[in-house]
Amino acid sequence: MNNQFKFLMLMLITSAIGNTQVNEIFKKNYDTTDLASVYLHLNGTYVEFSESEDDKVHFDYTLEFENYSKKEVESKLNEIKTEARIKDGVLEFKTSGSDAKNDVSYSLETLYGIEFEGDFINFKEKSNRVFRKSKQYFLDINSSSRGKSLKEYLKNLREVDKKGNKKKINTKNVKILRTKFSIKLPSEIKLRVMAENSNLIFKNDINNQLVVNARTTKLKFQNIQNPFNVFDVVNGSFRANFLEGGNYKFTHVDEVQVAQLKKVDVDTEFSNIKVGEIAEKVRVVDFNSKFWFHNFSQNFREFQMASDYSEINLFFPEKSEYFIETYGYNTVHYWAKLITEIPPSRKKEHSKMMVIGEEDNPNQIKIHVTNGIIRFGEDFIDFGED
Amino acid sequence: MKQDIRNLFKEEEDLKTLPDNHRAEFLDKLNKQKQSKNKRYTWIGAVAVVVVALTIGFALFTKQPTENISPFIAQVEAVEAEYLEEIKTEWQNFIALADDEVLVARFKKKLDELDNDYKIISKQFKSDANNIQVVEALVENLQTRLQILKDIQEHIKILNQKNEQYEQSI
Repeated sequence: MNNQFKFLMLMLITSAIGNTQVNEIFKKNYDTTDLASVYLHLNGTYVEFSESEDDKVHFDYTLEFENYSKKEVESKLNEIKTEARIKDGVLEFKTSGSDAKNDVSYSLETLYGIEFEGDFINFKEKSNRVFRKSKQYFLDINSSSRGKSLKEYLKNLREVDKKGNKKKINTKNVKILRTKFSIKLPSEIKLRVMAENSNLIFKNDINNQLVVNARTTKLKFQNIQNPFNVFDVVNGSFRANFLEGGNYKFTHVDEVQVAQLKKVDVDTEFSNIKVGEIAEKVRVVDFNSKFWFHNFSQNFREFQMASDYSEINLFFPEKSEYFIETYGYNTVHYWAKLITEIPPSRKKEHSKMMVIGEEDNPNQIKIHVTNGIIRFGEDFIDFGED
Repeated sequence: MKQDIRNLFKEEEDLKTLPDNHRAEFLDKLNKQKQSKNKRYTWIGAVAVVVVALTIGFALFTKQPTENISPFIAQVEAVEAEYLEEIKTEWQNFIALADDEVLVARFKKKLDELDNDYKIISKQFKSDANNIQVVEALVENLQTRLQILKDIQEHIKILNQKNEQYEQSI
């Protein structure tokens, strides 16, 4: 039985049925004539949002099971709950129980376990030099999202038999669950989303008001523009091409990647934020996050930041003249070989650390840092100095 | 002897801390353990394999035998114990290094929040031990705690290093 403990998982190959079953979970559409907003409660599901072409709200939710037994399918379907109702002009939809965080999920049941071989364990070493990335780079990230094929997933996994011998995994033993959940919304309707343990992809731009509370959820947007947008994201990840207007709060979000920010207030904590370009009037307040600001638009006007225990990496604006002013308390600046330190002061006041440009320049960057580290760069930023 | 790592949460000061670059370190460990004949480490390796697979979107589900405690649960518990021990060490290192009460309090609050999340996930694990996504959530929670503690210590060290240089220069 030693083999059980040697990079193995239990392997129980069940009598899988080698066919595909398609099950409709919820399919309905709602006229929006008397609807003011849509309120979605999504728990443990994968959803693709797109724009409705007929002014109706459409829900189309099906699951495809491949290599699942009839009993397993029934069990899975029994766990999924969906309900919808209209009350006081609000269409409310709830779903939970699917636990599918991707459009395609693979399950493998094994008797003696699997062993992992290959490169997944070998992570890239951190580079000491990071180069400026273009806004287009971030746009490209959002447009290429297709996951790996089953063959790619299985490439580095080996099934272990009773004697401990390794062999390639037979794809017939892999259960495949495809989630096809589409919600189509008219462009003018307000949307409120409460999401947990989910994966939400918005395929179209959204100009109507959007209120999102997400926890442990992957969020991906195109362009979002509305001054009344409110986002509160805890854990998970967030990607968007363009954010204009509204308030965004990210708490412990490991991956926030936005191609362009404009007229937004951002409140962050324990997060990693990468921004392709800062456009007009962006304000950031942070505690203990890491930032990468790669570019500034031609007339970014005003970028303000106040932070505590943050690490800020900022590439100087290239597209226009600018004025930078930084204040620090117990803070270190790195700019090429130049290091500026402001130690803690008795009065605990911030001191002026760096000024570049003319104060009357309309394009202004103002950063107040407490207990922080700021690195500036032209084309690249080095880390070797730490 | 089997250890119930959940007991480690009973006291607040027992907040545990583990290594930097959680996932990378975790997997590094796996690599090292791969050569080890130590049974406990091989469990960790096995779970790490699962976590890696899940990271790339590959969900694995196992069926437990009807024997006493499933090896899979034992594997997960061993991983938890290992992580919690490291988290505890890192927390102690952090409070020894940080001289900012507000910072310590804020981290304490954050770690408490993560601990509460962990308890919820742990309950899910008890009721659905075959669900690897739950295992992944458990490990990610532990990794998160470890990472923030590692990162803030690195941050403070850089600030302290520069301040020492400044004091020496004046």
